[in-house]
Amino acid sequence: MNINQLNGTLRVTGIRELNTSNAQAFRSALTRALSRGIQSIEIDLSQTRAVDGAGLGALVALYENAKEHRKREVFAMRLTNPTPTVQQMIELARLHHLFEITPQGSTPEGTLPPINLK
Amino acid sequence: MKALLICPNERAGVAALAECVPLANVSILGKTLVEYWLEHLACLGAQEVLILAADRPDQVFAGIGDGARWGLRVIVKSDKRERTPEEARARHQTTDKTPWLPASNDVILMDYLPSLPQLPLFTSYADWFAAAQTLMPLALTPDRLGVRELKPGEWVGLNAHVSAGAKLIAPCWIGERAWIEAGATIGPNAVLEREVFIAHGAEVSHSVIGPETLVGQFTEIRNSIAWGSTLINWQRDSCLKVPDSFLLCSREPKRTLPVSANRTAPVHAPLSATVRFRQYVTQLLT
Repeated sequence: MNINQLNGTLRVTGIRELNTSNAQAFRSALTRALSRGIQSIEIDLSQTRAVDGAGLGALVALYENAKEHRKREVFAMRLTNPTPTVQQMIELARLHHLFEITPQGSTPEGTLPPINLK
Repeated sequence: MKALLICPNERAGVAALAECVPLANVSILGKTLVEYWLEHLACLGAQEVLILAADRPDQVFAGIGDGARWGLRVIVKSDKRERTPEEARARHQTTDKTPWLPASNDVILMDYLPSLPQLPLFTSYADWFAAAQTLMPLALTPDRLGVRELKPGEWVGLNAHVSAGAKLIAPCWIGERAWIEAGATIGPNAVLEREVFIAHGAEVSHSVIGPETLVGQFTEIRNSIAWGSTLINWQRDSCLKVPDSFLLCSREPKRTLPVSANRTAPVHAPLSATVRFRQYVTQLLT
């Protein structure tokens, strides 16, 4: 998993799976990487093959944690390029109402529009 | 009068539907495909029906028995592969001198519903969903005991429970013995097959929920076919095995060997060996 920071956005790529086996480690790594200037998190799920309830729980916990520490600041989280099955899991758990989802092939890489900050 | 039904074998477009049961036994609004066809043939005056099944013929037979329910004599025959109607006609009608139903109803490949010949069932999940939706307003036939239309377009089956706090949006079909908890929203365009459990706060729309499926609390099923833990998005044609049973799972209990069966096995084993040894000695002596 790779974590990069650019212009107030934390970009996470190379997640192979997000489930019981690594959900806790994923959450800890990203919580550590959250600095004061971060206004948004963008998680690339194009390489993610498996997601379960624990993985989705880690995403929600990360989002809640980040919002908690930015009470007076705007903050948003975007999930990009989820595979069809990962998108099904996200929709089943209703997380598409919470996060912004950019489906596969909707925008070319590197040309994503700015995140709609809430 | 005689007729022949050919069970669909493998269909790549709807492979996940055939994982648990053969396609002829897949439930559509409370009845299996083969049941719809047997009813239809009985109404046309058939007395004897031969069913050719290449996929799990034992399950096809278990679902319909000898056909007495429809006043028919039904024989389920195992076949190596799915025959075309022409092949089946050539193979079975030439050797059999019994009168057959008139052509087009004499030999039928069951890949559509009798009342909807224009809608293929097994070409894709979207087609299967479309057929189920089209059938909904036509499905309240006199033989369906206990099915009520609560409001226009809201059908509820025998012994189904819909909590006062649940919301139904027409058109929707609630199968028999289904259970819908308060705060759940069903519809529009939702079909719940028999014994489905919809937990508190779940939403089901533009979807079919297969028999004995549990839909977990606050989940959202949209544009999908949920069959046990299998979730198929019929719009995107993607299929997922949901790993968490609190989100989606089958209500069917896992069949394990009872503890008593494990205990009795070692007790009987030496006894039968003793009996066999006695028989061997008796044979030697006589």
